Amino acid sequence: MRLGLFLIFLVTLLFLCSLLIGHTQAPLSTSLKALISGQGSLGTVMQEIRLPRAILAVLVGGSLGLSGAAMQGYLRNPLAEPGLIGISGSASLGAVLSLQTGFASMFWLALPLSALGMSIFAVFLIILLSGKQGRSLTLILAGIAISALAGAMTSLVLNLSPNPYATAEIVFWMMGSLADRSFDHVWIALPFSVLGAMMILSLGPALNALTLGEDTAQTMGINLVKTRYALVIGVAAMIGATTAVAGAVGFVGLVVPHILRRWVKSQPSSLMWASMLGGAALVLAADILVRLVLPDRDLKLGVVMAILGAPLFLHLIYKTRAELS
Amino acid sequence: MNLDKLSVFRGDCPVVDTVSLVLEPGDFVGLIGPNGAGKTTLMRAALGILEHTGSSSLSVMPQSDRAKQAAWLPQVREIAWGLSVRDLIGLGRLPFGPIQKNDMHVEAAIIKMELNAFSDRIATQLSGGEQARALIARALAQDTPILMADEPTASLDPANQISTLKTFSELAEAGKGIIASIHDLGLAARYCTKLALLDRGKLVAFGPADAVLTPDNLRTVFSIEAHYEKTKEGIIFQPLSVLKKSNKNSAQGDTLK
Repeated sequence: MRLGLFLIFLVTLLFLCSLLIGHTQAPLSTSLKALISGQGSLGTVMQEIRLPRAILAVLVGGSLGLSGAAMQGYLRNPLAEPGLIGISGSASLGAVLSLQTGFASMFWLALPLSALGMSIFAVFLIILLSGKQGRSLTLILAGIAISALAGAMTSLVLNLSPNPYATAEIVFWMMGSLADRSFDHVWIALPFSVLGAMMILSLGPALNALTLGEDTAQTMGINLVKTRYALVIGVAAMIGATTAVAGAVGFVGLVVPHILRRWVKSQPSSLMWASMLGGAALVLAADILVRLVLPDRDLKLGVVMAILGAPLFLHLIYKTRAELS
Repeated sequence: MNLDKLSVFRGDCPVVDTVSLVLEPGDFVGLIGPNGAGKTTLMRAALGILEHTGSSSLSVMPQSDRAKQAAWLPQVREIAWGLSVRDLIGLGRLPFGPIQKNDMHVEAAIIKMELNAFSDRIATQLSGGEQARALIARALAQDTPILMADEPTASLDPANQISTLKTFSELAEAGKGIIASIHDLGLAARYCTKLALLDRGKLVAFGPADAVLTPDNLRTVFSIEAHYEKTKEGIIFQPLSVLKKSNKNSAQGDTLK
C-alpha cells in the first residue's frame, strides 16, 4: 500500500517534470497556466507537444511494466518479458513495412496503424500455433517462432531496401522514441492500452495460483485456457499499441518487475500494479533524461533505456547471486 | 467421490484401465503400486485435469465447484516465487474469494503442519522437507471434503512422515475422504484405512491392508517377499527380498509416471 502511494507520487512528480522540460523554458506556474489556457506559443507547446509526450510515456511505461510482470507471473520465470510472445517484433515489422513501402508517408497514422494491424495478425497466429491446451510451454515456443520470423522479415526488408534514407528512417524508428508525437498517437494507443491493462489486471488470482504450478492452479479453480487467452490478448493489445506509437523500447518489462518484486513480497498480483506504476515512472524518467543529456541530438528513448537497463539488470543478477549463495 | 470405469489412454495404451472406485467420507485410501502403475495419472484424471473416458464424480463438476470439493497436492513441489510461508498457505483459500488476513483455515493449517516457527520465512529458502510441509499445509487450508496427495511423504524425515500421515488419518476420522499415493507400504499399511493396489493401470485389489498386502499380490505386483504381522502397535510390514523379476513390470518402468 505504502509502495503504491510512493509510486503514484513518483509518477505524478515525473509527469510534471516531463511537462516542464524542453527547448522552451518557463517557470512552473507560467507553464501550468499555459497548459490549461493553451494561449500563446507556450500554450501550444504545452498542449500539443509536451502533454501528449508525457501521457504517452505513462502509457508506454505502464503497458511495458504491467505486461512484463504478467508474463513473468504467467510463465513463472523472472526472465520472461513482453517481447517473448513476438508481439513487439511483429509490430515493428508492420511499421518497417509501412516505412519501406512509403505507406507511412501517405497519411499521418499509417505507420502506427500498420504496426497495430501486424500485431493483431501475430496474436491470431500465436493462438493458432500454441494449441487448445492451456500449457505455457507451447506459448513460449509459438512466441519464439513468431519473434524469429518477424525479426527475419524485418532484416529482409532492410537487406533489400534500395533507398538509404528509408533504411536510416527504419533504423531510427526501431530505436524507439517519444519525440514529436501528438494526441493522435495518444488516441491510438489509449484504448488498446486501457483495455489490455484491464484484461491483464483481472488475472491476479490466476497468477497467484500459478505460483504452485499449472496442475495445482487448475485444482484451485483457475481455467488455464481462459487465462492464456486473456494474457495473450491483453499483452498484445498493450504491446502492439505502444510499439506502434513509440517503437521498440526494451528492458522496461524485464527490469521493473525485478526491482519491485521484493517490495510486494513476491505476490504476482500486487507486482502487476506496482510494475505498471514503476514502468510509467521509469519511462517518464528516461524520456526526461533523453531531453536533458543531449537536447540537440534527438537521443532515442530505446537507446537510453538499454544503457540504463543493462547495468541495472547486471546489478540485480549480482544481488540475486549473493542471496542464493 | 465416485470413479466409474475410469480409463486414460496414451496413444492406444491404457495407462489407467477401467478403474472403478468409491471414496467415502472417513476413508484414508493409500494408493500403492510399482513405479509406472498409473497412480498419479489416476488421481489427475479423477480430478479432471487429464482427459479420460469413463466418469469421475469430480471431473463432471464446473471447475470452480471442483476447487471447493477437492484439493490436490502434486508430487512436483513447485514454488515459483519467494512468498512468505503464510502467504503461500493462504493461496489455498483462493477458490473461496479474496484472501483474508488471519484466515482461520490458514492458521489451523500452520498449526497442523507445525509450521509456526517458519510462517514468516520465505518459502523458497526453506529446506525441501519444510517446503513439502508448507505445501501440504496449503492443501489443508483449502479445507475441502476430498484431499488427493501424490507421494506426500517423499523427502520427509521419519518423524515428519509419521506426523503427516497421522494428520491425514485424523482428517479422515473427522469426515474427509483422502487418497494418497504412498511408496512406503509399511506406513501405508499402518495409517490408511484402505489400500488400493494398482498394477499396470488396473485396480488389482481394494480394501483393508490384510486383504491387499497378501503374499500373492506382493509377488505378482511388486516382485517382493515381505514380513507382515498384526501387533498391538499396529501393522508391521517390512519388505525382505526381491523375487526374480517377471518381465512385465520392468518393461514399463518409469516411463509412464
